[in-house]
Amino acid sequence: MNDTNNTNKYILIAGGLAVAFFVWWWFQGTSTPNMGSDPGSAPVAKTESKEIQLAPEVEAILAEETEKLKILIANSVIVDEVRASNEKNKNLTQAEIQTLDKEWQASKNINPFIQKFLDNKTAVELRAFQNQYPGFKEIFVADAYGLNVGQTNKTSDYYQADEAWWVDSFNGGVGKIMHGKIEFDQSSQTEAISIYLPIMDTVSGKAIGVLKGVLDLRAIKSAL
Amino acid sequence: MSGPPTNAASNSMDETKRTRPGLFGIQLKLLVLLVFVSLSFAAVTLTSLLGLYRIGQSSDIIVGRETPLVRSIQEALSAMVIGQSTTERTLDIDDPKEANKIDGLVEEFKNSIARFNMFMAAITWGSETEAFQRSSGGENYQAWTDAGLKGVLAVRESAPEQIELAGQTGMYYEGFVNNTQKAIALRKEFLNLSTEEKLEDAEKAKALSKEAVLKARRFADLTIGNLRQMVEYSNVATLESASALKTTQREVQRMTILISLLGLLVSTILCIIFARIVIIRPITDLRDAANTLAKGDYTAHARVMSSDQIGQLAVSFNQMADSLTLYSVDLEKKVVERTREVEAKTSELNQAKVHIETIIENLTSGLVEYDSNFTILRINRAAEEMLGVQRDSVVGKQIKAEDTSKKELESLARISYPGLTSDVRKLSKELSGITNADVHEIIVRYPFERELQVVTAPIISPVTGEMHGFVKVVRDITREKMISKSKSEFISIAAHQLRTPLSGVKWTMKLIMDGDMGPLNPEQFQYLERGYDTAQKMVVLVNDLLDVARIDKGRFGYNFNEANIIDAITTVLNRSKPFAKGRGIEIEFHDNTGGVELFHFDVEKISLVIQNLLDNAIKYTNQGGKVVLEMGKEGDYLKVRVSDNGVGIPKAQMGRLFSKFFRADNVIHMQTDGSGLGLFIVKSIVERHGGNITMESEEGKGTTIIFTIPLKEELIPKEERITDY
Repeated sequence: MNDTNNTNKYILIAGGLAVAFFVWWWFQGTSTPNMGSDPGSAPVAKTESKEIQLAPEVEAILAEETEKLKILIANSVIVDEVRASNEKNKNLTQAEIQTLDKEWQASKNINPFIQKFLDNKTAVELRAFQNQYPGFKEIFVADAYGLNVGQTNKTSDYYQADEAWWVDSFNGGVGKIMHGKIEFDQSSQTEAISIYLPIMDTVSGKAIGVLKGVLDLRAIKSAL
Repeated sequence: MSGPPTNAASNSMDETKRTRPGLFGIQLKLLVLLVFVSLSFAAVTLTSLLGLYRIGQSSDIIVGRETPLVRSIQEALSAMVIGQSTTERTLDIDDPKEANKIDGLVEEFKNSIARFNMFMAAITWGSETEAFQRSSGGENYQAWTDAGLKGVLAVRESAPEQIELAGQTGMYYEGFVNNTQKAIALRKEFLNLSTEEKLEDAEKAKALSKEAVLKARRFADLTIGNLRQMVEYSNVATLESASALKTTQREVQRMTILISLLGLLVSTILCIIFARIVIIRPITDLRDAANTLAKGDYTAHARVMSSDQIGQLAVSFNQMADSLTLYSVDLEKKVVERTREVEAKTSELNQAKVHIETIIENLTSGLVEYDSNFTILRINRAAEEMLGVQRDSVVGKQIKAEDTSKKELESLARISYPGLTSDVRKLSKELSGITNADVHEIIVRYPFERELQVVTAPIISPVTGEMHGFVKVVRDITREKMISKSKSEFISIAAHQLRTPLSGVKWTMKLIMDGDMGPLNPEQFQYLERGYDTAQKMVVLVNDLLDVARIDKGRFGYNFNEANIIDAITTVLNRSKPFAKGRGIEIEFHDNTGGVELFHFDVEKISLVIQNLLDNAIKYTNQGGKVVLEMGKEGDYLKVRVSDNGVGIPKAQMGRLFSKFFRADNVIHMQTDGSGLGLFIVKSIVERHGGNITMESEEGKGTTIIFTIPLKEELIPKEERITDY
């Protein structure tokens, strides 16, 4: 009986060693699969590595539209509102900001908190501009903390400082005017290009917020 | 051995009840083994299926996305080219009379726009329905459906990284379209103005049209450039997908091999372990129990580990072991009983052996036992003394014929090999009275000269019937011989000494009876005649005694010559007839030979034979009886029968008929004359001739004596040797 048990043990040990060897051997010959984990995803490295340039004609149109948006960032009402938002939000902790952001994202409809950002002075100015230049399907302003100040449409979230466009445009307070790539804008459900302008403090000369204008591609197309 | 394990027996019975066979028994276990084996195949199959699925997914990307994507791009390009062609052809229309062509161009252009938008939507959105609805409000969807392209393309999902590129392309195309439409409109205006001969305005319109065409070309180039870029990206993606496919294929191969080997290994291990546990272990246990049982330990039992056929086998084995145990216990008892019986018998045999040994040892006759190789197994005290040997020196020794030359073994060797030594006389069975042994009379000279009678009897195995030795009984007959010799000599001397006086007496009586001494009265004559007859009988007796003495010494004296047997018989018959007639007995003679030539025989002796036989037949036949003498041939021998219907001979005494002085009891009281030596003399004479004599008789009915003598001289023994007694 003991002999049988011992023999069984030896067989198991030998088998385990053989299995381990085979597994090691297999992993030696295995290459990192490109497709193994996510065969559905296309290899995008090559496409991503090459930046797609817009034609000069398009750039020219974009520049014109950017000039239009400059009216907004020079709007004193908007600038004051941004300053006030900065003052109000300066003591918010990151955790509080995250909480507010989660609440904003979770709300399916426009609640009183969100409504404020659609009705305040900034929103009024933005909406007036939009009426004048309907090619902008959506315009909103974020303060120096990335938090919404005012907007023409409900944005998808409250906190913008975690977005690459805000970081790039705020540029650490230096500010940078730029535009994004052609994207499908979920909010406006159109192909659009976003234009970003920093809101500068006339006194300090530093960026105190960022304005984002979503330009419908059709506006560009019609100008071509 | 232990006592009967009744508990084990009852346990076995309980086991039988508990271990009724399962539904499938060993088959179920074998099925499990099959399942383990199947595991490896299942693993391989599963691996192959998984690998095929992944390969399928990779190929789906190529077939499902990249290929339709490329096709869409190519179709868009095609539409683009058509649109471009339309644009260029617009410039070719200078003649106002050809203004109607513009409408055709416009229609053509519209179609190309719809086509382009359709494929661009497929590229951008992946879902043609949604794409058309999003991008063009659904108006092109119908055109697209009308074109029969619905369902042809199946771009499963969009290529996000190409949305920007597609968006740009759409934008440039929009520019192309706008400018082309502008160019066409201006061209139309130019033609109209030309028709109205507003040349200056017409030229302006023409110039603007050209400008619009240039812009359209520019945007066309941008669009085509983007489309080609998209094709390039798609080709790269396709190549990478193909490469990934190959990688996947290789991985699948390796995985399949690995899984196959692993599966095989695992299933083999599982099979081995499972088989060892459920099949081999119980069988091994059973084997061990069987081995233990074979060594005699009947308490060995196999463990019943399951209810399948192997378990049942173990149960049956245990039952067998219990039965064997009971049987062995019973056998032990019987063995003990038999042992006791054997011991008792052995004791009896030992006692008998001692008894026999004592008898043998105290026999007055010597006894020597040999094996078949003449090795001495036993010798008693009497034999030791007679043969001058010590048992310690001869028991276990093989006696050889040449041992007769050794003084201390001479006597033993002589009796061991009587046929090879001198001074040996072999006795016939009739004379010795021993029928199942050879009897020799041997003279030995060591340690003393003596005559020994040696009876040699074989020792026959009652089982096999083979002789595995022999025994010699040795009797010292020296004194007997001396007595017999003395007796013979006495008789010879006495007879010899008596014959002369008897002859004298008979002669004297004859003289007186003849009247030579004077006349006798009748009474005197009668007495003298009686005396003369008596003397005559005594003379006959003395003559017989002398004959016997001569026969004993081998000096009877024979003369073998060619003679006529008929003459000899006739002479004897003539001599006997008066005697027979006097007793009222008839004698007949029958010659059945068919003629006998002269042959060698002793006429006197044979005549004596016939005379004695006839005299006996006549003497022992009552008045009125018959004696028949028949003569015939039997091969090279003459056969003579002498028959009578007289008193016969008692059966118990037939064996002694030819002995000296023998007279049967039924004739002694008849008060007939006879010395009892006649037949002895007859036998001696017949045997000296090389013949044979036999006798048939029935008491009260008669006797027949038959003798044969050879007709050929070479059949007659050469020497008158000492005949058997």
